Amino acid sequence: MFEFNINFEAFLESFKYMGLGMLGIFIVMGILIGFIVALNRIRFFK
Amino acid sequence: MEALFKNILELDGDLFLKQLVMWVIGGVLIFLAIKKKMEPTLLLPMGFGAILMNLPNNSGTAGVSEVLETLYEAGIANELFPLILFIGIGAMIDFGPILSNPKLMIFGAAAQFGIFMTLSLASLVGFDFKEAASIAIIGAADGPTSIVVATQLAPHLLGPITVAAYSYMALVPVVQPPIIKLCTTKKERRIRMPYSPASVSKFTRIVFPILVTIITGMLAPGAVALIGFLMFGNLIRECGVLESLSETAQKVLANLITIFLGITVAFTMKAEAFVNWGTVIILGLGLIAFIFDTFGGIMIAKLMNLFLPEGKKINPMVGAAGISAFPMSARIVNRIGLEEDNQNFLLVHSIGANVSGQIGSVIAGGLILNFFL
Repeated sequence: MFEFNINFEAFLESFKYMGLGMLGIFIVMGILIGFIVALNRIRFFK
Repeated sequence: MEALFKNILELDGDLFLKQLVMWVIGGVLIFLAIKKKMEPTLLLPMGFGAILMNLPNNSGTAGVSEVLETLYEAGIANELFPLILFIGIGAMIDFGPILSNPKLMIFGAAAQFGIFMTLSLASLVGFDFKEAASIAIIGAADGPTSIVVATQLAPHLLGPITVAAYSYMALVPVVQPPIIKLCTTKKERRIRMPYSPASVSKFTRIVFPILVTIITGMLAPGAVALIGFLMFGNLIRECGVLESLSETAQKVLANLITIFLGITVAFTMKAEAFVNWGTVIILGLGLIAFIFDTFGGIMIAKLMNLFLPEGKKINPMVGAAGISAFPMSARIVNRIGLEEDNQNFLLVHSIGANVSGQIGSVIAGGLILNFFL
């Protein structure tokens, strides 16, 4: 059961997950962009 | 005579009031589905299920609860339904726009900002991290991802989270435009983006889903199931030799699972667990997630514009399409672009951002599972 309770400690700790999460998504997307650019230069099926 | 009204005479007053509230919620969902045509494939079964689950004294041996519980255990508790649905979704998606213009994927990443902002806010108001993460994933704007994450981290919140996720996806045409207009100037909204389509080879289309699965699986193992099923569906579509399977996945399979998914989610919408202030706060946090998703996408486009030369600038509204609500978000961006300048066609770019949002949301879901599981 939810109880309203301001928790600053958890709030501050959550920024660690925010940083890691956004960094993780950008890293994965960055790698994918790199691979797509590389793939677009390869032509096996004309 | 007494036997005839036995069920009514045995009503628990407090509980019945809550059940009445659930009937109203069910009615609203059905209204939105039929009258407003908002995500009818899911909102209608969920709305009907909400009424069905909250009929008084329905838990007899042949009650609705038992049947829906069986479906729930068989299809949602083990994530089977949402993952199979992902095969169908993967078969429906054409990744062509991001394969020809991969920089659009940056928006698919930035527009997940709302997820993490909501995680912070939910933890601030008293939810523990697992609950906060499950609520935050509403911002993925992706029903199956929300269900998979909530099932693993906070199954007791699955009902309100699913309702919020699908309702806000349906309400994207209402939620996004004011945020877009608030975060952009008229001049920015009028930026034209020329479209010069680059051909995408069949090889690229075939290798892409395999590559995404491997890379995401290595960097965010929690996302393997989600991304794997999504990309499997896409590979069926793109391989060129499985047209029949692709068509089945897109239509029959997706429809079949959707019917069961909607009505089974209703199992979690029992009045005693659903009607409380926690649900109201979850619905509010879900809205915040969508707002900050939109904000994140727009801001990254503005940031990129600082470094791009004149003539190659990006219309910041395209960033707002980086959320996973496909294709509503892309259509809205295109519509607002045309309202500002009737020759400003942004659909191709915004579709690309929207499709990359599908990948971004799944990666975000996987990372959340990695953090908290």
